[in-house]
Amino acid sequence: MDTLLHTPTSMAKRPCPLPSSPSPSSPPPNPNKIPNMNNQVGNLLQTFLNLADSNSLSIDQSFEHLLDSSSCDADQSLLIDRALKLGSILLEAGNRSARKRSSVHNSLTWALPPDLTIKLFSMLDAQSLCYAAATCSMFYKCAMDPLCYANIDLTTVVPKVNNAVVSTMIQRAGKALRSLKLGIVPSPTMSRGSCQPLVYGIRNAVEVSNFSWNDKKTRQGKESSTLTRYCLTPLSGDKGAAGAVLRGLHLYNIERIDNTSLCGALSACPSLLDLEIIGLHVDLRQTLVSVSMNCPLIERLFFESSKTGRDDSLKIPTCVHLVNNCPNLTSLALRGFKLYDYNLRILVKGFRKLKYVDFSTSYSITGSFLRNLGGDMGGSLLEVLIFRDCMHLKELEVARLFTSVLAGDFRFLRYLDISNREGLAAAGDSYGRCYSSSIIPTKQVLEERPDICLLAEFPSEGSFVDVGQMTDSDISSQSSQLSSRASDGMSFMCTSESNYSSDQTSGKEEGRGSGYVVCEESSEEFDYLLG
Amino acid sequence: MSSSTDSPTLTTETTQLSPQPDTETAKPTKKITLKSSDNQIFEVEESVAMEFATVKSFFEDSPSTDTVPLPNVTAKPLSQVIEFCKEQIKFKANPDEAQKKKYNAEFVTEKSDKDLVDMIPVANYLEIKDLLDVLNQAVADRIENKSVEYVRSFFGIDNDFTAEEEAALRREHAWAYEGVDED
Repeated sequence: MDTLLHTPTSMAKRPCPLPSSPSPSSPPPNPNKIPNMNNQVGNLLQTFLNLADSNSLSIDQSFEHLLDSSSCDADQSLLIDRALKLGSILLEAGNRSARKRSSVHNSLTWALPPDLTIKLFSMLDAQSLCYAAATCSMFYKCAMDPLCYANIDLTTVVPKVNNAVVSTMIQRAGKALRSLKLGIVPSPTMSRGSCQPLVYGIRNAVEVSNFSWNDKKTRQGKESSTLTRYCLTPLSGDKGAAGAVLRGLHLYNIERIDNTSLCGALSACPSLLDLEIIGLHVDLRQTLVSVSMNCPLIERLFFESSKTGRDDSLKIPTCVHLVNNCPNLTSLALRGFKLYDYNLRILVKGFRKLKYVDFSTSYSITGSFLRNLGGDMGGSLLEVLIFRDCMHLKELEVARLFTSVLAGDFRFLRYLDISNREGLAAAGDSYGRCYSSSIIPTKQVLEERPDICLLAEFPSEGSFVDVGQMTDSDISSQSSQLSSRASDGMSFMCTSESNYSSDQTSGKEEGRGSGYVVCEESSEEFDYLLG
Repeated sequence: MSSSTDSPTLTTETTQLSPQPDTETAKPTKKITLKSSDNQIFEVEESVAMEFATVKSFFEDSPSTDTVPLPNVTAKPLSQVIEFCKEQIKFKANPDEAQKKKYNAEFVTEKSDKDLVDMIPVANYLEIKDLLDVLNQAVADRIENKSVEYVRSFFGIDNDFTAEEEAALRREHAWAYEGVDED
């Protein structure tokens, strides 16, 4: 052992450094030459590495001894210098080799070719994708593929995504971009749907309608989104390459997006098929004008106001424009706006492919816009009608609708929701409320059309009723029931939205759990409703 | 429900193959023999084997063969893949989307992480698209919101980044490291 340690000593006495012995002219030892070492150096290194087995104290002592034996101060510092240098060279070599071995190990362990790995990664949400990218270099390469960013879901429960993150993701996606979801979605059930199909789907919309209304309540008083009005500008960047191919855009509770920035973004998205806007401070008219000008292919439009029932900006020309420019619309939800029957009539009549309609919490509609529709006049393809909590929805108009269903209109209708936490507007008295109607031919409709799932949930007379809080599992099971209902006609529980009571200060939350009522294929229950 | 394929026998090819000629002639119960890379023999219904695009094209190219060697596939994932495809055949004959969804969900939840990951290349090699989608989604679900270390151990891979590279990655994706689920 001692002899080994003395070998470098003898060399250290000369100014000539160890690795470059053939060329004494080169002054400092050059670490780059180590890989070219000859056999002799290899053997030396081998022996040297065996030192790792001896205890560190003896190496320490030997080194001290070595230093002591050299009298000159310059020689001592040279020794120390060399020790440090050699140490770090070896450390680096060791690390590098370990990484190389890990890379080899990874490529052997992971049998999937890159294209399949990319496919797998493309199913991850943005955050999990970042983690996958940080695991190893092989996964990093895969995780940088544009296809992994085709469907960007950056919705989060708490604000933490900023503009730069959005911009990076959009740039990585480039022309592979298909859908983009941004904003704050308090419900974890929503952000979980990382690979929801982009196509028009009633099921998706119903899921959304279940979660969204409560969100703004829970959002109140919380910190605002870290995204600004410029968060969508990357869509227009690079000559609008990313925006040009975007099919789906979902924006939730991004307070700082205004009319101008949203319209700017939409103008960069000519291929948009699916637009969902919830809780943004933009107005209905300008947004729809922008959609009709820029998004002629749109198939699904889901728009929920941030100002419950106060936005009455929609005007007839906008409706006409939209109907003329966006003929492919199959799914339309305008929730929480002050809508008028004459506007909606233009929309429902005009969109010839319309299957899904949701005008929930629209303050002013009476239902008269549906008169004579459901047949040749338009609206014949409608499958889903949701008019939940439309305060002025009239018993009489609902009765009319039911009568036309009995007459054979609305042939494809399979889901109808006229639930209202304040009952319907009564037929006779314009201020009266109706909680159980005798003029609506419900029973006959259910007999005639057992395929229709009807939700008609009203409070007992004069009281607001909160029928239980919906849990997430309720929501999902309800949604799946809806999607499978047509085949097996299973019964369909209705529950009121859980924020009714919190919304109302009436203090009647304790209500009477009697609540309401399953209205499908069950005449007993309907007798109850009529009773 | 359960057939010989669930209990593969080791390397006794000749005895396994002897009943083949009889079953091949009887159309409805025609069996096809698959041989895994570790030399296990699987006899499966023709209809099941035809779910494997790779096997199908193998037969189309050389219809007279009686055993299909699968050199890239080991026995365990193969048996699980066969199990999956048997069920899919039933759904094909008798479509029930809800039931199928339920089965697919159960199929993946009861598998270990390793089983899932091991099946992916098999599903890919045999070109069973449905299964590949189900597996990809299941794996994606399992690593969703999990830490980097968790994902490494999930896939059995090692870190091969330098400390600097790793720090740079963390910085680049700083937002993603807030609020991670417990492993």
